[in-house]
Amino acid sequence: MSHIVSPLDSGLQSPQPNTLEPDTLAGRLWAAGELGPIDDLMTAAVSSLKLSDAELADLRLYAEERSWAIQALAEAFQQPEDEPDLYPTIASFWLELRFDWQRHNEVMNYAATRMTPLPRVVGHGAVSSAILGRLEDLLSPQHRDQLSQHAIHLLEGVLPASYHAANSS
Amino acid sequence: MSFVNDTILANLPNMSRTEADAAPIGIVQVDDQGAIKLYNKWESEMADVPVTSAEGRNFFTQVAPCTNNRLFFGKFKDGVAQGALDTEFNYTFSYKMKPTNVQIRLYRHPSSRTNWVFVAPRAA
Repeated sequence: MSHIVSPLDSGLQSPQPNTLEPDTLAGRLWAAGELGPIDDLMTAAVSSLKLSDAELADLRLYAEERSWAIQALAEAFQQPEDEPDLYPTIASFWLELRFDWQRHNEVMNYAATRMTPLPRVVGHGAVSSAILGRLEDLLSPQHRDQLSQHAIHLLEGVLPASYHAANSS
Repeated sequence: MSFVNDTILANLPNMSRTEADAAPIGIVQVDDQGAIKLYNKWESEMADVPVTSAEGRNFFTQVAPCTNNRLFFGKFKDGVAQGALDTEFNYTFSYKMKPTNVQIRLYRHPSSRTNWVFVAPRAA
């Protein structure tokens, strides 16, 4: 019987204690999604940002949702024979987080050039980056590089028609 | 006034690793494509990236992917293409680290045609 509780149903109850074998990929994934260390990373990352209580609560919900999603994945793929499917799903989740972080990174830096800092965006970027780092440890260095390069090359040349019109000779 | 003093700039083509590691700012030498040729101690500690993990890899796409955009890498590429690069701007590093406000200077040394990324902390 699943003991995973959806954040939408529960108001984000803490997950049940981990029953997964710690040395398995699913067990290590569960550990990567533990809210305590993620919360610690988040607190350290946003300590210098001027965030309101509401913004901090929003950021904590953002972190909790991702923690829940990671542990739901671990629990769903917990059998040893699931590992060939779990590993690429982790890679997919990593890509999803990377694109999330990338968007926040672009927004925070472009906003800064216009002298309109967005601490809430900086906070979200910091949290997605921290969680990204925890998932990244489950992938081989070769796959991390491969996925990063694919993520970059995927968007190369994706430019609006107005850019091509302005730059055509 | 730049955070990179004239002594550092004057010494650039011949800067030893010891001299680079003694600097109180980040000093990264990259080739025209962005591959790191020298990554100094200050930068390594700020980014928490070992020197051996950085050198030989691309600064903009592999070591500091938060710089892979028109604001940063775009300026570098434009400068290299024009054969002239000397620009300073503010930036926030954010990849797998606490958001860190920095000053950046991208510089192409004219006579040696070597490329440099200088990094220093900046108050918010």
